[in-house]
Amino acid sequence: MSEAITPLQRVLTTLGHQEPDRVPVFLLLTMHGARELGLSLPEYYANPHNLVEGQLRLAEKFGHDCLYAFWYAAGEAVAFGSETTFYEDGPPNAGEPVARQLDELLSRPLPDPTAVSPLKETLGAIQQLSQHNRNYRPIIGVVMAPFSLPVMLLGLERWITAFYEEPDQARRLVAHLGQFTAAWANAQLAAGAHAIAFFDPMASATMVTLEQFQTFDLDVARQVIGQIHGPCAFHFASARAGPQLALVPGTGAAAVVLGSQDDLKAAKGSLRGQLGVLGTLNGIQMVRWTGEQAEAAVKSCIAAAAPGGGFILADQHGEIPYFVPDETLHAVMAAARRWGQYPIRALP
Amino acid sequence: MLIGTLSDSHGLGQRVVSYYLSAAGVHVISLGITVPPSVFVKRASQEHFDAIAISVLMYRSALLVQEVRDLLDREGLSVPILVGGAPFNMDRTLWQQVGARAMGSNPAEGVAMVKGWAGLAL
Repeated sequence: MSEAITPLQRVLTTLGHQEPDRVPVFLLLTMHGARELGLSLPEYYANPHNLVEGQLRLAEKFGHDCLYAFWYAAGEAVAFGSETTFYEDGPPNAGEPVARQLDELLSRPLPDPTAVSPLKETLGAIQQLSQHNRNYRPIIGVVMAPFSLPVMLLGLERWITAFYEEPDQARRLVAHLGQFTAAWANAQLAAGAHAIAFFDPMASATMVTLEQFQTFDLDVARQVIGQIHGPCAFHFASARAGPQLALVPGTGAAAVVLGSQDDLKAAKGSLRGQLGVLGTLNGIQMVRWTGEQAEAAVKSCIAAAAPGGGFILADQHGEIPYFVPDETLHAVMAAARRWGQYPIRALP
Repeated sequence: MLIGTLSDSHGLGQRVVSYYLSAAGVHVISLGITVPPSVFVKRASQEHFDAIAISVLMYRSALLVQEVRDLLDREGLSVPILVGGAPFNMDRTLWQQVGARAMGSNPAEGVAMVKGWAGLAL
Protein backbone atom coordinates (compact mmCIF):
# COMPACT_ATOMS: atom_id res chain seq x y z
CA MET A 1 0.00 0.00 0.00
CA SER A 2 1.44 3.38 -1.03
CA GLU A 3 1.36 6.08 1.64
CA ALA A 4 2.06 9.79 1.37
CA ILE A 5 4.92 10.00 3.85
CA THR A 6 7.62 7.57 4.95
CA PRO A 7 7.42 5.71 8.25
CA LEU A 8 10.36 7.76 9.53
CA GLN A 9 8.54 11.01 8.71
CA ARG A 10 5.39 9.64 10.35
CA VAL A 11 7.22 8.74 13.55
CA LEU A 12 9.14 12.01 13.74
CA THR A 13 5.92 13.96 13.24
CA THR A 14 4.14 12.19 16.07
CA LEU A 15 7.14 12.45 18.39
CA GLY A 16 7.04 16.21 17.65
CA HIS A 17 3.50 16.09 19.11
CA GLN A 18 1.86 16.74 15.77
CA GLU A 19 -0.63 14.55 13.95
CA PRO A 20 0.84 12.68 10.95
CA ASP A 21 -1.27 10.96 8.29
CA ARG A 22 -2.05 7.99 10.55
CA VAL A 23 -1.04 6.49 13.86
CA PRO A 24 2.40 4.88 13.49
CA VAL A 25 2.66 1.21 14.46
CA PHE A 26 5.72 -0.52 15.87
CA LEU A 27 5.35 -4.28 15.61
CA LEU A 28 8.27 -5.14 17.88
CA LEU A 29 8.98 -8.52 16.34
CA THR A 30 12.13 -10.48 17.06
CA MET A 31 11.56 -14.26 16.92
CA HIS A 32 9.18 -14.01 13.98
CA GLY A 33 12.26 -13.31 11.86
CA ALA A 34 13.26 -16.95 12.31
CA ARG A 35 9.92 -18.08 10.93
CA GLU A 36 10.39 -15.83 7.90
CA LEU A 37 13.76 -17.44 7.23
CA GLY A 38 12.58 -20.99 7.83
CA LEU A 39 14.92 -21.41 10.80
CA SER A 40 14.44 -22.76 14.29
CA LEU A 41 15.03 -20.20 17.02
CA PRO A 42 18.40 -21.72 18.03
CA GLU A 43 19.45 -21.66 14.37
CA TYR A 44 18.24 -18.08 13.97
CA TYR A 45 20.08 -16.83 17.04
CA ALA A 46 23.31 -18.54 16.03
CA ASN A 47 23.99 -15.77 13.52
CA PRO A 48 23.20 -12.09 14.26
CA HIS A 49 23.17 -11.34 10.53
CA ASN A 50 19.84 -13.18 10.37
CA LEU A 51 18.48 -10.05 12.03
CA VAL A 52 18.91 -8.15 8.76
CA GLU A 53 16.91 -10.39 6.44
CA GLY A 54 14.40 -11.21 9.16
CA GLN A 55 13.58 -7.57 9.88
CA LEU A 56 13.44 -6.58 6.22
CA ARG A 57 11.03 -9.40 5.41
CA LEU A 58 8.82 -8.65 8.42
CA ALA A 59 8.61 -4.95 7.54
CA GLU A 60 7.74 -5.81 3.95
CA LYS A 61 5.11 -8.33 5.05
CA PHE A 62 3.29 -6.24 7.64
CA GLY A 63 4.10 -2.68 6.55
CA HIS A 64 4.65 -1.39 10.06
CA ASP A 65 6.70 1.65 10.89
CA CYS A 66 10.05 0.48 12.27
CA LEU A 67 12.90 -1.96 11.95
CA TYR A 68 13.68 -3.50 15.32
CA ALA A 69 17.38 -4.06 15.92
CA PHE A 70 16.83 -5.93 19.18
CA TRP A 71 18.79 -9.19 19.06
CA TYR A 72 18.19 -10.61 22.54
CA ALA A 73 18.51 -9.19 26.03
CA ALA A 74 20.79 -11.93 27.30
CA GLY A 75 23.34 -10.82 24.68
CA GLU A 76 24.42 -8.07 27.06
CA ALA A 77 24.97 -10.65 29.80
CA VAL A 78 27.03 -12.70 27.36
CA ALA A 79 29.24 -9.65 26.86
CA PHE A 80 29.93 -9.87 30.61
CA GLY A 81 30.76 -13.60 30.43
CA SER A 82 27.37 -15.26 30.85
CA GLU A 83 26.12 -18.35 29.04
CA THR A 84 22.83 -18.30 27.14
CA THR A 85 20.02 -20.85 27.10
CA PHE A 86 18.22 -21.09 23.77
CA TYR A 87 14.68 -22.41 23.37
CA GLU A 88 12.68 -23.72 20.44
CA ASP A 89 9.68 -21.56 21.31
CA GLY A 90 10.80 -18.53 23.29
CA PRO A 91 13.48 -15.89 23.64
CA PRO A 92 16.99 -16.80 24.83
CA ASN A 93 17.63 -16.51 28.55
CA ALA A 94 20.79 -15.55 30.42
CA GLY A 95 22.42 -18.49 32.18
CA GLU A 96 23.82 -18.60 35.70
CA PRO A 97 24.82 -15.22 37.17
CA VAL A 98 28.38 -14.21 36.29
CA ALA A 99 29.00 -12.81 39.78
CA ARG A 100 27.68 -13.27 43.30
CA GLN A 101 29.20 -10.14 44.80
CA LEU A 102 28.74 -6.58 43.62
CA ASP A 103 32.47 -5.97 44.12
CA GLU A 104 33.23 -8.60 41.49
CA LEU A 105 31.38 -6.54 38.90
CA LEU A 106 32.75 -3.23 40.13
CA SER A 107 36.33 -4.43 39.83
CA ARG A 108 35.91 -5.92 36.38
CA PRO A 109 36.64 -3.87 33.23
CA LEU A 110 33.49 -3.11 31.30
CA PRO A 111 33.11 -4.88 27.96
CA ASP A 112 33.66 -2.89 24.77
CA PRO A 113 30.46 -3.37 22.74
CA THR A 114 32.37 -2.89 19.49
CA ALA A 115 34.75 -5.73 20.34
CA VAL A 116 32.77 -8.41 22.17
CA SER A 117 30.26 -10.99 20.86
CA PRO A 118 27.38 -10.93 20.21
CA LEU A 119 27.24 -7.14 20.45
CA LYS A 120 29.82 -6.42 17.75
CA GLU A 121 28.00 -8.73 15.34
CA THR A 122 24.72 -7.01 16.19
CA LEU A 123 26.34 -3.69 15.30
CA GLY A 124 27.33 -5.17 11.94
CA ALA A 125 23.73 -6.23 11.40
CA ILE A 126 22.49 -2.72 12.22
CA GLN A 127 24.94 -1.32 9.65
CA GLN A 128 23.54 -3.66 7.01
CA LEU A 129 19.97 -2.81 7.99
CA SER A 130 20.80 0.87 7.67
CA GLN A 131 22.28 0.39 4.20
CA HIS A 132 19.15 -1.41 3.01
CA ASN A 133 16.78 0.95 4.78
CA ARG A 134 18.12 4.32 3.56
CA ASN A 135 16.29 6.22 6.29
CA TYR A 136 12.90 4.90 5.20
CA ARG A 137 11.91 3.37 8.55
CA PRO A 138 13.31 4.29 11.94
CA ILE A 139 15.72 1.62 13.20
CA ILE A 140 15.20 1.01 16.91
CA GLY A 141 18.15 -0.20 18.99
CA VAL A 142 17.85 -1.56 22.52
CA VAL A 143 19.88 -1.33 25.70
CA MET A 144 19.22 -2.69 29.16
CA ALA A 145 19.24 0.11 31.72
CA PRO A 146 22.09 -0.07 34.24
CA PHE A 147 19.52 -0.55 37.02
CA SER A 148 18.04 -3.59 35.26
CA LEU A 149 21.19 -5.20 33.84
CA PRO A 150 22.29 -6.57 37.26
CA VAL A 151 19.22 -8.84 37.25
CA MET A 152 20.99 -10.89 34.57
CA LEU A 153 24.50 -10.46 35.98
CA LEU A 154 23.75 -11.19 39.65
CA GLY A 155 20.28 -12.75 39.67
CA LEU A 156 17.14 -10.95 40.80
CA GLU A 157 17.24 -12.03 44.44
CA ARG A 158 20.86 -11.00 44.90
CA TRP A 159 20.19 -7.64 43.27
CA ILE A 160 17.13 -6.86 45.41
CA THR A 161 19.00 -7.95 48.53
CA ALA A 162 21.69 -5.40 47.73
CA PHE A 163 19.17 -2.55 48.00
CA TYR A 164 18.81 -3.37 51.70
CA GLU A 165 22.24 -4.71 52.65
CA GLU A 166 24.65 -2.79 50.40
CA PRO A 167 22.84 0.33 49.19
CA ASP A 168 26.02 2.32 48.57
CA GLN A 169 27.55 -0.49 46.53
CA ALA A 170 24.30 -0.88 44.62
CA ARG A 171 24.35 2.79 43.65
CA ARG A 172 28.01 2.50 42.64
CA LEU A 173 27.26 -0.51 40.48
CA VAL A 174 24.43 1.26 38.64
CA ALA A 175 26.70 4.22 37.94
CA HIS A 176 29.50 1.88 36.83
CA LEU A 177 27.29 -0.09 34.44
CA GLY A 178 25.85 3.15 33.10
CA GLN A 179 29.11 3.77 31.26
CA PHE A 180 28.62 0.51 29.39
CA THR A 181 24.97 1.30 28.66
CA ALA A 182 25.81 4.67 27.11
CA ALA A 183 28.65 3.19 25.05
CA TRP A 184 26.45 0.34 23.78
CA ALA A 185 23.63 2.73 22.88
CA ASN A 186 25.97 5.12 21.09
CA ALA A 187 27.58 2.28 19.17
CA GLN A 188 24.14 1.27 17.89
CA LEU A 189 23.38 4.84 16.88
CA ALA A 190 26.73 5.11 15.13
CA ALA A 191 25.95 1.88 13.27
CA GLY A 192 22.70 3.35 11.95
CA ALA A 193 20.01 3.08 14.62
CA HIS A 194 17.79 6.16 14.85
CA ALA A 195 16.59 5.75 18.43
CA ILE A 196 17.17 3.62 21.50
CA ALA A 197 14.70 1.73 23.65
CA PHE A 198 16.02 2.05 27.21
CA PHE A 199 14.67 -1.14 28.82
CA ASP A 200 14.24 -0.63 32.54
CA PRO A 201 11.70 -3.06 34.00
CA MET A 202 13.35 -2.82 37.44
CA ALA A 203 12.33 0.85 37.51
CA SER A 204 8.66 -0.10 37.46
CA ALA A 205 6.15 0.00 40.26
CA THR A 206 5.83 -3.75 39.73
CA MET A 207 9.40 -4.23 40.97
CA VAL A 208 10.42 -1.37 43.27
CA THR A 209 8.99 1.46 45.31
CA LEU A 210 9.07 5.03 44.10
CA GLU A 211 11.70 5.74 46.76
CA GLN A 212 13.93 2.88 45.53
CA PHE A 213 13.58 4.14 41.97
CA GLN A 214 14.69 7.58 43.11
CA THR A 215 17.48 6.23 45.30
CA PHE A 216 19.10 3.75 42.93
CA ASP A 217 18.05 4.56 39.39
CA LEU A 218 16.76 7.99 38.53
CA ASP A 219 19.94 10.06 38.62
CA VAL A 220 21.99 7.54 36.66
CA ALA A 221 19.18 7.05 34.13
CA ARG A 222 19.14 10.81 33.58
CA GLN A 223 22.94 10.90 33.15
CA VAL A 224 23.05 7.94 30.80
CA ILE A 225 20.17 9.13 28.64
CA GLY A 226 21.92 12.51 28.51
CA GLN A 227 25.06 10.82 27.20
CA ILE A 228 23.21 8.92 24.46
CA HIS A 229 23.47 10.76 21.16
CA GLY A 230 19.91 10.16 20.02
CA PRO A 231 16.32 9.95 21.25
CA CYS A 232 15.50 7.34 23.89
CA ALA A 233 12.24 5.68 24.83
CA PHE A 234 12.03 4.74 28.51
CA HIS A 235 10.65 1.21 28.36
CA PHE A 236 9.05 -0.50 31.37
CA ALA A 237 9.02 -3.83 29.47
CA SER A 238 5.54 -5.07 30.46
CA ALA A 239 5.72 -3.86 34.02
CA ARG A 240 3.51 -1.14 35.50
CA ALA A 241 5.02 2.34 35.40
CA GLY A 242 2.82 3.53 38.27
CA PRO A 243 3.94 6.66 40.13
CA GLN A 244 7.41 6.40 38.55
CA LEU A 245 5.85 7.67 35.32
CA ALA A 246 5.70 11.24 36.60
CA LEU A 247 9.51 11.29 36.90
CA VAL A 248 10.27 9.91 33.43
CA PRO A 249 10.11 13.30 31.65
CA GLY A 250 12.96 14.43 33.89
CA THR A 251 15.24 11.69 32.55
CA GLY A 252 15.43 13.37 29.16
CA ALA A 253 13.69 10.50 27.39
CA ALA A 254 11.71 11.45 24.29
CA ALA A 255 9.06 8.79 24.82
CA VAL A 256 7.84 6.18 27.25
CA VAL A 257 6.49 2.67 26.73
CA LEU A 258 3.80 1.86 29.27
CA GLY A 259 2.68 -1.44 30.72
CA SER A 260 -0.72 -2.86 29.87
CA GLN A 261 -1.78 -2.33 33.50
CA ASP A 262 -1.16 1.40 33.20
CA ASP A 263 -3.95 3.78 32.27
CA LEU A 264 -3.00 4.79 28.72
CA LYS A 265 -5.51 7.63 28.49
CA ALA A 266 -4.51 9.16 31.80
CA ALA A 267 -0.81 8.83 30.96
CA LYS A 268 -1.26 10.48 27.59
CA GLY A 269 -3.16 13.29 29.23
CA SER A 270 -0.53 13.94 31.86
CA LEU A 271 2.41 13.66 29.44
CA ARG A 272 0.90 15.55 26.49
CA GLY A 273 3.55 17.74 24.85
CA GLN A 274 6.31 16.37 27.09
CA LEU A 275 6.79 12.74 26.06
CA GLY A 276 5.63 10.55 23.26
CA VAL A 277 3.68 7.53 24.49
CA LEU A 278 3.93 3.98 23.12
CA GLY A 279 1.73 1.03 23.91
CA THR A 280 -0.21 -0.77 25.12
CA LEU A 281 -1.30 -3.81 23.15
CA ASN A 282 -1.18 -6.80 25.50
CA GLY A 283 1.29 -9.23 23.93
CA ILE A 284 0.22 -12.17 26.08
CA GLN A 285 -3.46 -11.78 25.27
CA MET A 286 -2.49 -11.21 21.63
CA VAL A 287 -1.56 -14.88 21.32
CA ARG A 288 -5.24 -15.86 21.43
CA TRP A 289 -6.90 -12.80 19.87
CA THR A 290 -9.45 -13.25 17.14
CA GLY A 291 -9.45 -10.67 14.35
CA GLU A 292 -12.32 -8.87 16.10
CA GLN A 293 -10.45 -8.78 19.40
CA ALA A 294 -7.35 -7.40 17.68
CA GLU A 295 -9.43 -4.65 16.11
CA ALA A 296 -11.09 -3.83 19.43
CA ALA A 297 -7.73 -3.59 21.20
CA VAL A 298 -6.31 -1.31 18.52
CA LYS A 299 -9.37 0.93 18.62
CA SER A 300 -9.18 1.16 22.39
CA CYS A 301 -5.55 2.31 22.32
CA ILE A 302 -6.17 4.78 19.50
CA ALA A 303 -9.19 6.29 21.24
CA ALA A 304 -7.20 6.64 24.47
CA ALA A 305 -3.99 8.16 23.19
CA ALA A 306 -3.87 9.03 19.49
CA PRO A 307 -5.62 12.43 19.29
CA GLY A 308 -3.09 15.25 19.00
CA GLY A 309 -0.21 12.98 17.95
CA GLY A 310 2.53 11.94 20.34
CA PHE A 311 1.46 8.31 20.15
CA ILE A 312 2.82 5.12 18.60
CA LEU A 313 0.81 1.91 18.74
CA ALA A 314 2.98 -0.94 20.05
CA ASP A 315 2.91 -3.93 22.34
CA GLN A 316 3.72 -3.30 25.99
CA HIS A 317 6.57 -5.80 26.32
CA GLY A 318 8.96 -4.86 23.55
CA GLU A 319 8.90 -8.36 22.10
CA ILE A 320 5.79 -9.92 20.59
CA PRO A 321 5.56 -13.61 21.60
CA TYR A 322 6.61 -16.21 19.08
CA PHE A 323 3.15 -17.79 19.33
CA VAL A 324 1.33 -14.75 17.89
CA PRO A 325 0.18 -15.75 14.40
CA ASP A 326 0.68 -13.64 11.29
CA GLU A 327 -3.09 -13.31 10.89
CA THR A 328 -3.29 -11.41 14.17
CA LEU A 329 -0.45 -9.09 13.18
CA HIS A 330 -2.17 -8.38 9.87
CA ALA A 331 -5.39 -7.68 11.79
CA VAL A 332 -3.57 -5.20 14.04
CA MET A 333 -2.17 -3.38 11.03
CA ALA A 334 -5.49 -3.35 9.20
CA ALA A 335 -7.25 -1.92 12.24
CA ALA A 336 -4.56 0.72 12.72
CA ARG A 337 -4.89 1.78 9.09
CA ARG A 338 -8.67 1.85 9.31
CA TRP A 339 -9.16 3.59 12.64
CA GLY A 340 -5.88 5.45 13.01
CA GLN A 341 -6.24 7.96 10.16
CA TYR A 342 -5.85 11.54 11.38
CA PRO A 343 -7.86 13.41 12.39
CA ILE A 344 -9.11 10.64 14.65
CA ARG A 345 -12.87 10.31 14.38
CA ALA A 346 -15.14 9.17 17.17
CA LEU A 347 -14.67 5.41 17.34
CA PRO A 348 -17.74 3.18 17.70
CA MET B 1 1.84 -29.09 49.14
CA LEU B 2 4.29 -29.26 46.27
CA ILE B 3 5.75 -26.13 44.69
CA GLY B 4 8.24 -25.37 41.93
CA THR B 5 9.22 -23.10 39.05
CA LEU B 6 8.22 -24.86 35.87
CA SER B 7 10.89 -25.00 33.17
CA ASP B 8 12.34 -21.53 33.62
CA SER B 9 14.92 -20.33 36.10
CA HIS B 10 13.15 -17.35 37.67
CA GLY B 11 12.69 -18.66 41.20
CA LEU B 12 11.97 -15.64 43.37
CA GLY B 13 8.18 -15.88 43.06
CA GLN B 14 7.95 -19.47 44.29
CA ARG B 15 10.31 -18.74 47.17
CA VAL B 16 8.17 -15.84 48.37
CA VAL B 17 4.99 -17.92 48.05
CA SER B 18 6.70 -20.79 49.92
CA TYR B 19 7.54 -18.47 52.81
CA TYR B 20 3.93 -17.26 53.01
CA LEU B 21 2.57 -20.81 52.91
CA SER B 22 4.99 -22.05 55.55
CA ALA B 23 4.16 -19.12 57.78
CA ALA B 24 0.49 -20.01 57.37
CA GLY B 25 1.12 -23.55 58.62
CA VAL B 26 1.20 -25.34 55.28
CA HIS B 27 3.85 -28.04 54.85
CA VAL B 28 5.67 -27.10 51.64
CA ILE B 29 8.02 -29.22 49.56
CA SER B 30 9.88 -27.23 46.93
CA LEU B 31 11.28 -28.77 43.76
CA GLY B 32 13.29 -25.63 43.01
CA ILE B 33 13.73 -24.07 39.58
CA THR B 34 13.83 -25.34 35.96
CA VAL B 35 11.55 -28.21 36.95
CA PRO B 36 10.27 -30.26 33.97
CA PRO B 37 6.60 -31.31 33.91
CA SER B 38 7.47 -34.97 34.47
CA VAL B 39 9.23 -34.21 37.75
CA PHE B 40 6.13 -32.56 39.23
CA VAL B 41 4.13 -35.64 38.28
CA LYS B 42 6.68 -38.16 39.52
CA ARG B 43 6.84 -36.46 42.92
CA ALA B 44 3.07 -36.15 43.13
CA SER B 45 2.71 -39.86 42.46
CA GLN B 46 4.95 -40.71 45.43
CA GLU B 47 2.86 -39.11 48.18
CA HIS B 48 -0.39 -37.23 48.67
CA PHE B 49 -0.40 -33.46 48.13
CA ASP B 50 -3.41 -31.21 48.57
CA ALA B 51 -2.17 -28.92 45.82
CA ILE B 52 0.65 -28.28 43.37
CA ALA B 53 1.73 -24.65 43.05
CA ILE B 54 3.51 -23.73 39.82
CA SER B 55 5.37 -20.47 39.28
CA VAL B 56 6.57 -19.16 35.91
CA LEU B 57 7.90 -15.98 34.39
CA MET B 58 8.16 -16.91 30.72
CA TYR B 59 5.10 -17.36 28.56
CA ARG B 60 6.44 -20.59 27.07
CA SER B 61 6.67 -22.00 30.60
CA ALA B 62 3.07 -21.00 31.35
CA LEU B 63 1.90 -23.11 28.42
CA LEU B 64 3.70 -26.14 29.89
CA VAL B 65 1.27 -26.19 32.82
CA GLN B 66 -1.12 -27.99 30.49
CA GLU B 67 1.45 -30.75 30.09
CA VAL B 68 1.65 -31.14 33.89
CA ARG B 69 -2.15 -31.37 34.05
CA ASP B 70 -2.29 -33.94 31.24
CA LEU B 71 0.41 -36.10 32.83
CA LEU B 72 -1.32 -35.95 36.23
CA ASP B 73 -4.61 -36.98 34.65
CA ARG B 74 -2.90 -39.86 32.88
CA GLU B 75 -1.65 -41.06 36.26
CA GLY B 76 -5.13 -40.70 37.75
CA LEU B 77 -4.02 -37.87 40.05
CA SER B 78 -6.69 -35.23 40.61
CA VAL B 79 -4.52 -32.91 42.70
CA PRO B 80 -5.41 -29.28 41.82
CA ILE B 81 -2.84 -26.92 40.28
CA LEU B 82 -2.44 -23.35 41.48
CA VAL B 83 -0.45 -21.06 39.14
CA GLY B 84 1.17 -17.69 39.51
CA GLY B 85 3.55 -15.40 37.66
CA ALA B 86 3.70 -12.59 35.15
CA PRO B 87 1.96 -14.25 32.17
CA PHE B 88 -1.06 -15.06 34.34
CA ASN B 89 -1.20 -11.52 35.70
CA MET B 90 -1.13 -10.14 32.16
CA ASP B 91 -3.81 -12.47 30.82
CA ARG B 92 -6.33 -13.13 33.58
CA THR B 93 -7.91 -16.07 31.76
CA LEU B 94 -4.69 -17.87 30.85
CA TRP B 95 -4.84 -20.13 33.93
CA GLN B 96 -8.07 -21.60 32.62
CA GLN B 97 -6.51 -22.27 29.22
CA VAL B 98 -3.69 -24.36 30.69
CA GLY B 99 -5.66 -26.62 33.01
CA ALA B 100 -5.04 -24.94 36.37
CA ARG B 101 -7.69 -24.91 39.12
CA ALA B 102 -6.92 -21.28 40.00
CA MET B 103 -4.33 -18.50 39.85
CA GLY B 104 -2.93 -16.40 42.64
CA SER B 105 -1.99 -12.86 41.71
CA ASN B 106 -0.14 -12.44 45.01
CA PRO B 107 1.08 -14.74 47.82
CA ALA B 108 -1.89 -14.02 50.09
CA GLU B 109 -4.31 -15.18 47.42
CA GLY B 110 -2.26 -18.34 46.99
CA VAL B 111 -2.35 -19.10 50.70
CA ALA B 112 -6.12 -18.66 50.84
CA MET B 113 -6.62 -20.99 47.86
CA VAL B 114 -4.37 -23.75 49.15
CA LYS B 115 -5.74 -23.66 52.70
CA GLY B 116 -9.24 -23.84 51.31
CA TRP B 117 -8.41 -26.87 49.19
CA ALA B 118 -6.70 -28.57 52.11
CA GLY B 119 -9.62 -27.89 54.41
CA LEU B 120 -7.50 -25.79 56.73
CA ALA B 121 -8.89 -22.82 58.62
CA LEU B 122 -8.10 -19.50 56.95
